[in-house]
Amino acid sequence: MKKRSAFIWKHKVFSVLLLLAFLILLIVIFPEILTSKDPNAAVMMDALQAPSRAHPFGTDKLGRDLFARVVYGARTSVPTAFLLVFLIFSIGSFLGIIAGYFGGFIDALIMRIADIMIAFPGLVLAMAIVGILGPNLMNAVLAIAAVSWPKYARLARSLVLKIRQRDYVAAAVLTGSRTGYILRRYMFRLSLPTLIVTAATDIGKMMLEMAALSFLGFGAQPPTPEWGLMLNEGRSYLQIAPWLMIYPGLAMFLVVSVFNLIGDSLRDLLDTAQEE
Amino acid sequence: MSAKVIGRRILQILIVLLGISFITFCLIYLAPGDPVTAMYANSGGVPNADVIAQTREELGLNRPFFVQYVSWLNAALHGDLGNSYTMSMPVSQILLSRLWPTVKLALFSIVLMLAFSVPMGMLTAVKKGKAVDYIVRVLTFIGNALPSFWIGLMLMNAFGLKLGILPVMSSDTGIQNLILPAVTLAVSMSAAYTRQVRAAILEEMKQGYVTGGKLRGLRPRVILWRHVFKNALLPLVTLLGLSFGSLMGGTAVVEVIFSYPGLGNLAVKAVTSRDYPLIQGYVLWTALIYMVINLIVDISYEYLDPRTKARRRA
Repeated sequence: MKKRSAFIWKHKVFSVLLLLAFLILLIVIFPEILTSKDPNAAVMMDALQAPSRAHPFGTDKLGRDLFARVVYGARTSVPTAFLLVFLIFSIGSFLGIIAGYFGGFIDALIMRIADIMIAFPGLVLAMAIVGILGPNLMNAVLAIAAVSWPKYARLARSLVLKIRQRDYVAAAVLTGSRTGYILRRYMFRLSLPTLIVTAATDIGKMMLEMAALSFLGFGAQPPTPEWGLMLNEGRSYLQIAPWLMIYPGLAMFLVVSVFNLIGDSLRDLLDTAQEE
Repeated sequence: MSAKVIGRRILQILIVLLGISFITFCLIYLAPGDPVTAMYANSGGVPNADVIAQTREELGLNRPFFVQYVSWLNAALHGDLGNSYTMSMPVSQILLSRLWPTVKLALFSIVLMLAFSVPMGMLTAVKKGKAVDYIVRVLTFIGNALPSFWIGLMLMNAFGLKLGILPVMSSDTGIQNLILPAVTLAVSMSAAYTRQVRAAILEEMKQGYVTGGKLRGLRPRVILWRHVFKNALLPLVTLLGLSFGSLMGGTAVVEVIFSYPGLGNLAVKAVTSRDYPLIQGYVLWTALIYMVINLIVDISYEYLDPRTKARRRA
């Protein structure tokens, strides 16, 4: 316990950020805490109402409560961003570690595929993939994952190439450790911290990319409450109902900020830990 | 860069293009929905089974996958990317007509971005830890966490609708129509680039020659511009080339918001209407443009950094 409170005291900013992230996750799991309204309940009589006591963020063109939609929007954006980061993190690290450790043909094959994907503006190919597979949230996740994993593969490969040179790896090989064990025990575990920092800084970025796809109509489909989609729906009412733009944008900004800051301070934390 | 290296890079570009064309071709082949039905649906007719079968035969869609791919590739190498389903015009012709507006928008926004981030990055590097540094850092952080389409819509609301000084719809490509889309793109790019400029300058200021210059009594301004900036240019040009990739994606979103008649807007329409030849043509073109730009960036190293030349000779 003493150790834990010392950690919190030493890394105040990081702890506060983690608390905020925890609160965001809490809202994702239990949106009912903040609002009792149904985000999809359309009341045409109340369409496009300005923020008031009954509707703190106003209502949209179908008279749905914007506050409820923004709150439930977290439920779409946050888990998909996590899923996306998890996917590219595991696929990319796995392939990168394999490529770096075995080298030769496998390395060349994996890295050339990565080159093809990385030599490419991500959103453009993602758009094409969604366009061909059909627009929905899952395809958008797959499309962005398809163009984002090479970053992790390259990083993991370069880390493994360094780790492989160490004496203890040679010792493990000499003493007859199985390859799977070496990959898990040394390659994966030692490259993990750097990979995790990259993953943490990517959460916010992925959220914005998913929102951009949804904004273009290639991600979440109506009536799903999703921030990018909400901004697209509110776009034509920019002049008469600016709240339709302001609040989903702010929500996205806040959540992305929290995750970006966590990524930044995680990197600082790791850098100082390595220096010590 | 020697001719041999350039030759190898061009070969690499060709391989990547081949890979991309294969991937997109596979995806289109596997795509749910029949392209012939889609084609007729777009032109408004509901054909009977015979017509569909005949069209399939004409377009060669009955042939095995690899035969189709090779014949498509052969045509593509001769500059023929097929006809668009929705516009019944050759894809290359459509793309060509949309290319210049997008290039213009991209170049304009890069100029705007550089005009902001280079001075700001240098200022914050020199004044590290001072108030200016913090203010700019907060600004770039905010820019980094906001979606570009949101910034675009807000700018549109402020300057187009409220103040009414700039057009809301950029349907032609005059300079007035270019300002809002270009600023939108520049804002989101500047956020990342200012940080990169700052980091590059700080890294360079650690070098021994900076201390040497100070000891020789050179004015700080001379050290900064003549020496530090010149040396930091190399990583900055690399990053600029790379940021062109996100720019190509970014233009799509911004072009849609401002109804700007560029490649991105075209691509979004093609995706929505499942115009496969057009999607494929767009993807290949963008990849080609992006890779050629990065090749030019690499070639430019030679002129920016004589060391690379010397190292190769050694």
